Amino acid sequence: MNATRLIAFALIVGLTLVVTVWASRRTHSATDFFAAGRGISGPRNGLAIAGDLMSAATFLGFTGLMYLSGFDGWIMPAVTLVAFVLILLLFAERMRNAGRFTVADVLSFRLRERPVRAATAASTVLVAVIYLVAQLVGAGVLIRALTGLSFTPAVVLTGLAMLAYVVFGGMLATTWVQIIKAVLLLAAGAALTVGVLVQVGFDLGTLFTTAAANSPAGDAYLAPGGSGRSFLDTVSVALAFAIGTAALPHILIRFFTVPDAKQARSSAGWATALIGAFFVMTAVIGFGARAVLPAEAADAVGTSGNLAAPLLAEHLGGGPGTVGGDLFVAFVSAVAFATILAVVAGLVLSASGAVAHDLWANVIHRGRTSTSETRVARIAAAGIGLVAIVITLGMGPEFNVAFLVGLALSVAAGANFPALLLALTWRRFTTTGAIAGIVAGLVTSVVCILLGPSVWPGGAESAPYPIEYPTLLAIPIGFLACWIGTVLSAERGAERSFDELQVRSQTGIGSEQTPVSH
Amino acid sequence: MSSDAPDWAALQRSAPFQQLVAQRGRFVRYASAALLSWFAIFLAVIGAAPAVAGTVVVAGMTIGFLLGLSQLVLAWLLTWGYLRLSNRRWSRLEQSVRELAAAGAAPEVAR
Repeated sequence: MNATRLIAFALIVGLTLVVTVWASRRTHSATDFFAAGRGISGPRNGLAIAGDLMSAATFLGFTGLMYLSGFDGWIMPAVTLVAFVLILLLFAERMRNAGRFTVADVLSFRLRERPVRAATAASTVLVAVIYLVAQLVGAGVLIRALTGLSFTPAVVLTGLAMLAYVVFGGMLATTWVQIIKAVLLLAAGAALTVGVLVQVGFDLGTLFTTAAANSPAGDAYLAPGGSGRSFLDTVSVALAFAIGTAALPHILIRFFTVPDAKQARSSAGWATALIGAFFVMTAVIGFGARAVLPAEAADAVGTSGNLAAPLLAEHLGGGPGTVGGDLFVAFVSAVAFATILAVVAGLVLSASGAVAHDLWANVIHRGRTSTSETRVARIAAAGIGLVAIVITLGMGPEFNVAFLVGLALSVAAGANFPALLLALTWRRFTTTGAIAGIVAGLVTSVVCILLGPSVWPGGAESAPYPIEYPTLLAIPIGFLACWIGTVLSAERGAERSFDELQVRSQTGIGSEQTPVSH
Repeated sequence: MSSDAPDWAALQRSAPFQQLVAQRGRFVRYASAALLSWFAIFLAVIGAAPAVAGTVVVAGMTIGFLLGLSQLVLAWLLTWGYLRLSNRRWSRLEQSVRELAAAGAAPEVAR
């Protein structure tokens, strides 16, 4: 076991638990628990949103993919910002104005509440749990590689910290853990970026040419094709990150934590600026790791590429066995750990909102007080977290989680995105259309994964659906089902409330306004 | 909402709201179209002309890499444009609609 890194991890857990205790004293009502009392300022919420996106998968995964396959690894960070512009243009202010705690609030505004809430809550919980398991498996593997702690205790410790933040500290603790992590991650990214640039003499030409020269692929390293993905695979992955990310519930519920629509759009603006800057840094780090690390590091980086950034830190700090190398890699590892903790907490919170606010308070027990809603939310968070931990331990460290991320993003893109967009913009849209879209997007995603190369029992070659990510099919089918369901139904009530939703969502009339306090 | 709820249909038809929806809607349509087209062009170049995408232009950066980078730059520009127009024009229109609502909304419309 590596003592320096374990101490760094313990410091992160200690700091975040202090934040949780502070937040738990300020969390009383349902608005506190789900929306941090609507007191987070725009720039802080922007940092937290950026933090939600800058997961271990984006920090370690994207840099690792650029190290391994060069240009092909750059496609995902390059297109993901599309999602945040779509969020700003379509969702940020409208969500804040028309919703209270969950995505289903906005959908059920003009559609029949019970079926729409039930369907949206189901897809939210599904996305959250799948994403959660993917993150927890990744966390266990990563912590094992970085500290020597074995898989099971690593997952259990991560899971318990995550439950503590959400159950006791609610959205306020989750947001501040996310903000602290985002600042640390941007600092680590900047330090690695400057370190690489110093090594190549601040000459980008040297950076890319050396990286290509060091790669087994040679000049092809800087051209498409390094990952061996087919073109349709590339398009599906790009759509998953560009569209699916825009409808991830744990990112959308962040817009409920700000005082008003102005702060909502300002937070989306900050998020776009920060995430873009972070992606530029990941490019320097990913290509830089190839240019700067010695050839024998390739084995240590591994086939997933996840250890490229930590190894780069060790190298830049002075190399293995040196005090500088050990400290720098401990810092980067602790930041990666903090990233996992913060992202899983946000996921649990979004799922607990769907269970407590949508299913329990508005479908099963309509008309109870919000105090019991908060209690149910805490119980739901604990339950969902424990289920995810048990599934993760059952799957074990060898389980390939890449397709789980694809499934979660595909459900978001195919089930959530079309229904949410059309509920906000299409006067004629009906309950039947929304349900049809959500179910069709969800079923298409699951079926394509089951028939796809990652899961098909006959092997990747014989899979009936030859593409890894289902988005290429799930998005058009989601929109089509929304349209067919709408034109086939005789329902007209939704058109009347469209005026109200338009005015409310675009001007903020009737929404809760609160001053910034956190 | 209670009996003193705003007349949503009247507010929806009011001049400032129509102006707001027209102006902001136009920006959102053009910006989304630009964003998604540039995204499609990036993917099309990768798919149809991988050799072109792999051509080095300047400082070791290939056409494909720069097209990817330009996705980020376009995202920043559209975000900046939206926020600027929001603060300069649309906030004022939103405020006018809110004032109309507070004043009891357009009285000429039958409920």
